[in-house]
Amino acid sequence: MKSETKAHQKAPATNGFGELFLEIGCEEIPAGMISAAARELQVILNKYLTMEKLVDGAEAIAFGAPRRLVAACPRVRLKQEDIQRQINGPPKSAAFDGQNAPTRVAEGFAAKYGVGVDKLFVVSTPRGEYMAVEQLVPGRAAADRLTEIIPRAIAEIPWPKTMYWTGASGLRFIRPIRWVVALLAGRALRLEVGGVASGTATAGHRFLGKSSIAVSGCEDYLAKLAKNYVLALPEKRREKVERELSKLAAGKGLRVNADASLSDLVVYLNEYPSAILGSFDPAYLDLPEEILITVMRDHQKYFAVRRRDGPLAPHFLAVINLNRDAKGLVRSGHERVLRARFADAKFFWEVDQKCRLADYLPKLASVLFQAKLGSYGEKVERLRALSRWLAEQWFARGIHEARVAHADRAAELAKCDLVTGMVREFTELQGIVGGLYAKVQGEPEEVYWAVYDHYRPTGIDEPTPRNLTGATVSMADKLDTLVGCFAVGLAPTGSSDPFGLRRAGLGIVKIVLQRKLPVSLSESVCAAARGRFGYAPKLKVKPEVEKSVFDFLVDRARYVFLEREGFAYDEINAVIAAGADDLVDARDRIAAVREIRKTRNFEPLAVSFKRVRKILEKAGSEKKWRFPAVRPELFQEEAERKLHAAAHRVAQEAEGHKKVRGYREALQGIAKLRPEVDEFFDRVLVMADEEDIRRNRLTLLAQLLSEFSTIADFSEIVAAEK
Amino acid sequence: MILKPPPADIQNLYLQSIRAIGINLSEHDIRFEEDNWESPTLGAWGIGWQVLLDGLEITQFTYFQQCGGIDLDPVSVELTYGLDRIAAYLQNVDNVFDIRWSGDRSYGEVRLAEEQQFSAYSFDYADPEITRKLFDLHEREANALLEAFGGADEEGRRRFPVLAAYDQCLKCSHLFNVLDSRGVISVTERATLIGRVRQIACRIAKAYLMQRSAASAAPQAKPAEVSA
Repeated sequence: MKSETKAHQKAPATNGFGELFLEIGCEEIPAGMISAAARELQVILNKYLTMEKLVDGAEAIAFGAPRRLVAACPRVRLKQEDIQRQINGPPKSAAFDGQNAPTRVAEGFAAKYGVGVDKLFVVSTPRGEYMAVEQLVPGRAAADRLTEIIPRAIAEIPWPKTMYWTGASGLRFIRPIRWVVALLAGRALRLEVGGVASGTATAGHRFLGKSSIAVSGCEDYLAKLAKNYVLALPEKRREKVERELSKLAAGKGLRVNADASLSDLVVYLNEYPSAILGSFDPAYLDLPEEILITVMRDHQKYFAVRRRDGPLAPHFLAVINLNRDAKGLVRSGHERVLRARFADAKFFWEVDQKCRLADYLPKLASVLFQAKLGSYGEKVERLRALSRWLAEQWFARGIHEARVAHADRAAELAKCDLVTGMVREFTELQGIVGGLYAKVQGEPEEVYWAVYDHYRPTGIDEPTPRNLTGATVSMADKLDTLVGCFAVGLAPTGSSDPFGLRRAGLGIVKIVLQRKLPVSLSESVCAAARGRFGYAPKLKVKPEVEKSVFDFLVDRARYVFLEREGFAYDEINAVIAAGADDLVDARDRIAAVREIRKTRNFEPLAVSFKRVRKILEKAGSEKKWRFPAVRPELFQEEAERKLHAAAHRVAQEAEGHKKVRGYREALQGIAKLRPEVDEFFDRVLVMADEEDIRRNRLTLLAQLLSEFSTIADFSEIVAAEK
Repeated sequence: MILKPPPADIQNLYLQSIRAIGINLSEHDIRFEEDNWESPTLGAWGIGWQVLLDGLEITQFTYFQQCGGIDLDPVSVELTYGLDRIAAYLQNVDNVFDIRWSGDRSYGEVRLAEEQQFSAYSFDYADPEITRKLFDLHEREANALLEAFGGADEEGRRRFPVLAAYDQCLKCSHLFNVLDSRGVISVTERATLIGRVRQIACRIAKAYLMQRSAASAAPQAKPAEVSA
């Protein structure tokens, strides 16, 4: 005990606190997973530190590099605080006998907690009087708790796919753990993870650093690793990468083709990233730059380099896991690999174009989309029909640049590149390659860009197709996939969404909203379902399935309205409850609600509508009480008549505004009903004793609610707290 | 190359082997990038990396987790060296067939003809009808053996040619590859054929284990022998 106290006094930041430092040394962790894993480790560790009352406001941070996940918390208690705890025992009646002497029950209870019977006291509880004892629960040493907690925390880190290496019942982790450093206030914690005993030694760069380096804490660790060619902090690596990339490019009068996701990747692929500049034969610049960039980025993880005036330069920037390339061996190696890659691309570019893009159509018949949903050849037939139908919708609804023939042609060509050599080799170029071939082969600009773009948007913040035909084919493709997958039971569940249906749904919503396309969502789903039945493999889509696709799309819209357009959830709910078949219209209505809700009358009116809804719900089935129309002769109170008249007038005005989508004006009009509604509720008892009067009043309210809920259902609005 | 169980410093051992081949590790950009491996026909899969030498893939490094549909315990590591690529790199030639094989012969002179002929066979000449029939026959033989194993008594099982059934399975796997290269199988048929080979492979794996555990007499490799 004594020596431990001494040690603590020596360590920095004492006063009963010390730094916790943890490093999990691993074989190379997949680059794309490191930062997420570090975030998870941070959350998990903080959860345990808080739960165990080992921290007093301080929080752990975590970060990672290819061979390590690291966490540190600057101020951890060396010992938990003692806790005074009251423990309730037997009832008083059982603890003392008739002579008020303690029974064996009382003695037993006291003995269990190591006190005399005289230390027991009486507490009264709702169930009667009970005996109780005060107990001091001494805090445990943090080191004891941490040796238990840390292995658990490490095992809890979630990974997309795990492995075992110490036997089938051993720890599952992303890659084998080969060393662990665990320190509290500079002293080693003794624990074991995945068959590895923790220690105080970390490892430097695989080739440039020492393989065993003793460390005493986070600061010491970072400094010693830097000397051993490991920049453990990702921001240090990023800084180095960015600095060296720009310097090398500038040296040649060029600029780096910025690529944020590639930067993220190289930061987590290298423990000591250094940039090198390589060159390739300028003859390859004849290939489209999309292809050159994809080969460099996706296959070799190189940055492309541009001339100041825009076009690509015959150079690339590679980030290597070394401090330097003294002999230029690494550069010439990378140049050779790239040369072979570009030669392949050039070969495919030429061979693929020995026939025209449309000539690949028959081959699509043997490419399966999904077992129950048929081949890509069959998908193309449906895609063409649905694209034509959508283009007709645009035209009929006033978008006169819509061309059915363009939509049809783009849909016909859209999937052809799937069987070209280029896309088989570089799958991420699907769509783009088709678009490039279509362009070279003289298709109209509207068509080739549509083919090029029809997989867009590939993510919620990614761009949508650049022209109307591209938007049309993209929507048709996604609708067909959604309806087909839902019909054969492949709707996404939980985190599993192998066909990317959520992304497809978001894509449809995004295209409609961005282009302000006048389209009925339910009719579009219905048209896709018809196509499913009209073309092979014939599939009957049940109305419930159509409904669930529709709801799925509306949910995506809800997400976009909330997360990307900044509307409040109750504004969105109110409008969607009134219908969301036309998303552009729904957005206009949400915007109107948002504007109007700030005005004086609106929220109180919303409260009244909620009240109306509750009254009607309580009244039970409408069949029992609703009249075909309000019967003015049954009105008893002036307030009823006034509300009826005002509602009639406002409804007419609102109808006029709605026709020209003047939702703000319509809502303003409706909000003016507030005095009449308030007066009605002040003066009138809806549930009157006399049946006809009651039914008439309910009918009036029901009519009010339905007439004024077509823009938004006000009862969904959550009034601000006063 | 398979190491089972893999030593804890397996990555280092592997890197030393690369050094022994003639690559100076601190002068090259060597990295382990995520790449898991799977053989759907053999019900085998594992977790690992492709090892890159200055951007060139030279090895697939896999911690096998399952084989024949059975969880491995202990796991094994499989190293598939791209020796031809490494040699081409070291000799600074772009085409593997230009590798100098001996003082006076290139790799192409030794192996190119066979590569070309078997490629021509698999891509152009193999008769799809006959190849399918061969597949069926080998599958039938494997299944017949497995049936017989199932019906054999303890003594019969001990001496049973499970390995011959495995040989039939490998032939099916190879014939599947020929059909695939020949471009005569549709996507759905592809999945079906893979499933058929996989089913044999998984049954053989079970039979193999059954035989090994029943016949405790069969000599087991001791850990010392493995690492030797």
